[in-house]
Amino acid sequence: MRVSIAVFLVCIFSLPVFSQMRFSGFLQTSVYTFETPTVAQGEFFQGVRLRAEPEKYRKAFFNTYFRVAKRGEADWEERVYNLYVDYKTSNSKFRIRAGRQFVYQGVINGTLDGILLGGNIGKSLKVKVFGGAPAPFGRELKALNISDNTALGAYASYRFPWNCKLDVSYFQRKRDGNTNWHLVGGAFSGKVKSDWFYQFQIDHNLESKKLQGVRARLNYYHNHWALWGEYNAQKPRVFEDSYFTIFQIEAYDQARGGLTYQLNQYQFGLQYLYTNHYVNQTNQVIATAGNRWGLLGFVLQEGYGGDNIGVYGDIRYLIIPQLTAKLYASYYNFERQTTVISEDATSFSAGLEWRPVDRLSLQAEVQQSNNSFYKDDWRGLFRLFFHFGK
Amino acid sequence: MKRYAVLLGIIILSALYAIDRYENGAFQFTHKTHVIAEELECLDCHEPAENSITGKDNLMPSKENCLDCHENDEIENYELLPEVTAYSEKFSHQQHIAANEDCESCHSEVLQKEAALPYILPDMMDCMGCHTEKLVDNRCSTCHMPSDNLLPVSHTPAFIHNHSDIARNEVKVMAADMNCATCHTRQFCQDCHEGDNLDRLTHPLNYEVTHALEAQAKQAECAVCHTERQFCIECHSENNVMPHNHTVGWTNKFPNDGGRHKVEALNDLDACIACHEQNAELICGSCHGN
Repeated sequence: MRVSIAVFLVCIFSLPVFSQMRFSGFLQTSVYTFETPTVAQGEFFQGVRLRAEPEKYRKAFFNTYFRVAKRGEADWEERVYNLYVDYKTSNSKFRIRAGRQFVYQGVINGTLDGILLGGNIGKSLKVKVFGGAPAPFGRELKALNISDNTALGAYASYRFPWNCKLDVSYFQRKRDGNTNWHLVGGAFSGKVKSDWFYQFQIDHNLESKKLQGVRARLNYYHNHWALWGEYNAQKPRVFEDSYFTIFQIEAYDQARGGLTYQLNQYQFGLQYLYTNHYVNQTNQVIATAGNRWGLLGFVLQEGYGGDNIGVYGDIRYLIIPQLTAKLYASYYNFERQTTVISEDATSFSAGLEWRPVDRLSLQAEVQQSNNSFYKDDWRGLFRLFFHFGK
Repeated sequence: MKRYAVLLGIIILSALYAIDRYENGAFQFTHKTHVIAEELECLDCHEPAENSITGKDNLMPSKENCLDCHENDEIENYELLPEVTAYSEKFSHQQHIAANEDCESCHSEVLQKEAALPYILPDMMDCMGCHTEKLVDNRCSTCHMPSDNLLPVSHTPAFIHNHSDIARNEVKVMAADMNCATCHTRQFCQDCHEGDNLDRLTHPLNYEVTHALEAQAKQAECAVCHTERQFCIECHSENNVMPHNHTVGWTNKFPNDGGRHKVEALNDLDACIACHEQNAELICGSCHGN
């Protein structure tokens, strides 16, 4: 595997010798170490993002993002998140993308290996069609057998002249020859004046022939204010090849509301979440206050999901233009619904990020946590990030 | 009654005076006359722009500039002209002029303008459009300082939940042309959705022991990212996650009543699936059958 990736990289980087290619992307090297009472381990991660396009023909490009890792004594592992070629017609109205790609459009969701066709028909209609197979669970550089594992999706979006649009989508996924996820979805969204945004969304499961989820949301943005409210009814994702389909599956109902207010450089936020399970209920409040240097947060939860009271702070302070200090600390006192035992968890991390030049950053961080499973867990992260090309 | 009439009269007169001040108190200026009729160049008045390398420079013409052509008594209310010193610190007029950009390409239709205010300053979408089209570096750091607070007001505490619907249907919630891709590359999505979480951005430290709180409260739908149940099962079985509620009477308090496990399954089937997906036929099937 390492050899194939090395050969692949050499081929890509040697292309300029033969043709005028433009390259961009980044290299991200991470060394992660941790020590628990039972294990001390070092891990190495190398991520590469590469985009290559002909210098004189910008309508086509190749793009990939992958990483290789070595965890302790285990074998090398690779994860190829995406690897595709993209081409759009000279008028940019139609596009084809072939290879591994992350698709999240309407009810289509997942990293998929295949071909995505997209087009803008007229000024208002946008269409996308996908055909292929789901990527393997571990994102290895291999494809699943397409005769047994398929993913088919279609998405269409029509924008009306009255600041609103309608989206419809369809997704079918087969695993080992059987359909295991089959949805159709619709969404209607838009804005009224310039401040009010609304969204209504419905997903229907074509295998169980029942509603999978319904969601309605209203947002209001005005100058420094954001207010929103949402109703959500959602069923668990029980795939069709799961034993659990034999049960009658109940949706949970959920109401959310909150606000954000920006006062000069400060931002204050509040969210309330109410979840009505089949019998029990959960209430949760999250309050935050932040500015450009960081965020302080407070969490309060009670009910079926468990009881929790916690505070956290996340600071990123620019010491000098090239040097940023990062601090994170949290404390939670919680009681899970399944254990009914009061537990404390604390964490702390401190790090520095140095950017000697615009394209390069070096990051070093120490992470420490205490909880009922791991007492005094220490971790270290060293990361190098290099951006190349434009 | 008379007292109220006098008070009302004072209020009306004050309002009329204020309107009069407002209408006549503005700095009277038209680009149209200066640039089209008088054929002045932009740099004739905005001379410092040529060498300005930061958006903090005030490039409005000084009163002395005006006095080059006008008499002092012709210039009224100059002090009402606001300075512009809070534009992007990294913005360089010098660089844009050197690249042969017309002033109008950023200050669109300024030549037709017949009033001094409001100023025509390009917004972020104007910059992004041009940089993308001309293949100029359009990363955030090109224009923004690392210390800038770039968090839009839409990024509320619930945004980790809300953003999925916005992303999946390409809903534009802020300025007309802004969406996720304005600031984020697809890379950003994948760092959270499929990255290794080494810098704890996606799930903070201790999430391993606190995630059940969020999962059961349904704060987020875990399966949007963890699309394969294998993800939960591998970790739960490796760590022998044994819920304390699986005690005597868990399945039946009385014969065939289902006990607490029936309620738990109806409340949160995800929790059952997290451990029992692979052995459900054996565990659940022994009572429920196939």
